[in-house]
Amino acid sequence: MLLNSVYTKTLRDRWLGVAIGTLSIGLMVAMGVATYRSLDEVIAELIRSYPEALLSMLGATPELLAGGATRFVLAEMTNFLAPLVLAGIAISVGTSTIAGEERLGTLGLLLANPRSRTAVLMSKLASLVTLMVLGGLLMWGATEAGAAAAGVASGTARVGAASVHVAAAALSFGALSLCIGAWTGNATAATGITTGALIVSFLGAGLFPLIEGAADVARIFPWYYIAAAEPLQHGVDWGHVAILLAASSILSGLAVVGVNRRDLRSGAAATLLDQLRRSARLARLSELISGRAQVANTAARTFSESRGVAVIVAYVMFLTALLIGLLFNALSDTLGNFADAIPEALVALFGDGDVSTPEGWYQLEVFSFVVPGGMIVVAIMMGARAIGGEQDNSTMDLLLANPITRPRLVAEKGIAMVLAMLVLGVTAFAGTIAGSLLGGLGMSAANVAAASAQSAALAVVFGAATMLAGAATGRSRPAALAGAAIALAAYVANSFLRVDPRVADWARLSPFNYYMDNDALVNGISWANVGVLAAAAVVLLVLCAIVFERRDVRS
Amino acid sequence: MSSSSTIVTAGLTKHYGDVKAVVDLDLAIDAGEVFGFLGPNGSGKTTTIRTMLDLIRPTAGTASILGLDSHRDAVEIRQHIGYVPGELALYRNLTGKELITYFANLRGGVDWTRVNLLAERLDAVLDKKVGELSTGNRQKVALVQAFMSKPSVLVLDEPSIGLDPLVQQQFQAIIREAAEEGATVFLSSHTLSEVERVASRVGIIRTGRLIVVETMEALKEKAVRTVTMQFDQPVGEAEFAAVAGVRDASVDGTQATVAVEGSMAQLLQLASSLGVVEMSSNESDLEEIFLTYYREDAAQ
Repeated sequence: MLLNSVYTKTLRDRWLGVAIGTLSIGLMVAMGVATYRSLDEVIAELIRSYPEALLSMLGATPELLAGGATRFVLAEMTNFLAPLVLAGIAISVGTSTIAGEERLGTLGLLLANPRSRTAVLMSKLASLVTLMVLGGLLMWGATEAGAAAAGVASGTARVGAASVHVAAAALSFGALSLCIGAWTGNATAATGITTGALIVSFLGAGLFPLIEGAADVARIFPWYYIAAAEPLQHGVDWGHVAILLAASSILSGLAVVGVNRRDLRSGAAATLLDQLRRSARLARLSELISGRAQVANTAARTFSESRGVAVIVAYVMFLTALLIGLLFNALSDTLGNFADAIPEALVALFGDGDVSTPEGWYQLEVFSFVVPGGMIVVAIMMGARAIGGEQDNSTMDLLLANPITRPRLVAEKGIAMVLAMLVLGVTAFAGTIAGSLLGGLGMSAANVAAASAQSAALAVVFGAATMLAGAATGRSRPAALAGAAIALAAYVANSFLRVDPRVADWARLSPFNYYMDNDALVNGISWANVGVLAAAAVVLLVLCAIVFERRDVRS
Repeated sequence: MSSSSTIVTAGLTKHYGDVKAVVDLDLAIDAGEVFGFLGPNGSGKTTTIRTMLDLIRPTAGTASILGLDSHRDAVEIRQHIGYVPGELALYRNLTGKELITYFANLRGGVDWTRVNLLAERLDAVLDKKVGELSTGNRQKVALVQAFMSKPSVLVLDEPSIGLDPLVQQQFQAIIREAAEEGATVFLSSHTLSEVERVASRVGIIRTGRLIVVETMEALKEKAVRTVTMQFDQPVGEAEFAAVAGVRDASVDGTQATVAVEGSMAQLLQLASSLGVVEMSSNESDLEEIFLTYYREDAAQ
């Protein structure tokens, strides 16, 4: 039943992504451990005083942290970054299994061979499983190597056990995207919905344990099973792993049913919005979400093309910002204890806020991850499509046959990105203000606007870097990977470097430094920081124009 | 070839590493001319076109259009160009109308009367999303956008892919009209019959090198016709073989079949003197000529 050629082709196409992803984790572990080594004392102090609730959100318990700095870094990697990286790869593979091949128009040819849809799906599923096993093993090896390179052993931490949990969780997200792709044939929907589920799962698994009486709700989220059993401390919890594998199996079974009961597409599927539009009842709603295509100029077209995704991200951002405001009151008793408990050094990781204040709480919950993260995802997506994507789609030839210079094209794409980030900034602002009003938190509108604007400026920098990578390679995928890698490295570098006074100055190389270091929610806008970010974006866009001007357009 | 030619390439060369995609290409195409650019797959046709449009840059040599340098004056050149790319890709999320509006805006406006007229002639669907159209219907949208601004230079790379025969006919008429109005048409195509119908001159490129440039008349002169003749008495093969231009002759009693290149005057004279009673001739086979050029060079 297993089709060897289909299985090996998927492995061949994807193993490099897995290797690069896990290698990055190893590098980050090395960097993190090297920075934190000097902070064992601080960590020890932290562990004595840290409230359990917050640690649970970070996926780390005092018990686990007893190992000191190394353990802390390992916990952050295995509970947060590694699952994010591996799940991202799994979603990409899961989507490409059926829906991705339909988008490319290659599935018809594949199935013109005397092989069933089920056989093709199962063969690709087998390669997804293999890739996740490989990812888990590499993550284990890279993490151990990273720690060793930084001069410490991971000690008694059971990185291998944590890797099993991470790989199993990533597999479940891959199976979800496969299932959605198999039922709809729509790659955009498969990736979009699963990524949404990933974010919701992360937030749900982290937040519900904080709410008294609702802790068990967290169990419905796959993310919960990554760290809930503390595999880093206690080894593999086969019960939890079995739950993740069972979920993956059920989703795969549903995928088999889905792919066998519908017509296959050839070429690009209509987007989710297109499908909604065809339903008379929902047509108006979808029109509202995506709007009409704008064709006045390239900036307008680029902006309108990204509107669908931007609206969805804005929606998630708005709701999160709103709910976090309401949660503050529910959790204020617990949060009250935080103020004195967290050492200065560590607070740097989450922004220099006091989480017992509304500003500190928002900084931790909304402005340290969801808002910049959401914006950066959209900016990277737009940056990748801008120059690389138009060449991938072969639309660049016809576009550039018009009387428009390449630098102008870069400028218009840049303007569209800035516009999109401004819209997301306004949404983050509106959600936070709404949350503040409903929760009676009395946050300063000017400061919230400042944080939103600085986040938008930050995202534009990464979007511009992605565009530059797209201009250099003529491809969208390496561009998006480069953009994501730069953003992740900048985030980690800023977080880790700021903690150690000896290397804190190096954090200035990270754009995140200019987003976080003035603590905009408390102190208002730093025009100097905005200036640095804007200048960086302009320099990157100018470089992009220069590089693109010199290159042959890829066909 | 004249110094005032609309499209001129001089020593145009494009290498990709060790691969020589186009080598030392010299061309001159005049206003009002429809130039057929032929060659097998991978011979360098599209590379030549993309170099002329400044999408890729030559390794050596130059290309100029309307007296303007293809790289330095790229934007100005594009004001005057209508282009259909060989590997057609359009923005799938836009309708034909939106797509045309977008490109029209980049050009600073469009005459919608002309767009509608072109759409009508080509039976193009403009109110559906491009992504929902068939290959042929997408191609029609691309043709409308190429001709809509009445460009003085049309660069068409495999423009009739997917078109049905009726639309092909209309398209060829549109090309001829454009040329009559003074436009220069650079037509790269594998549809030899189409080139035969609309082109006044053709160039054949193979492995990056231009191997021949001829007017259609000159090519037709070279074309080989097969002529079958019926006589009132048996005839000899040697008599036909001796006629100038005859490539091949075979005789079966009173019937002779000969392949003749160029003028048929001498053959007709001989046939008449031998008492021909019936005569039939097929069309001169340009396709065979084209293919001969492809093959001849391949054998070298």
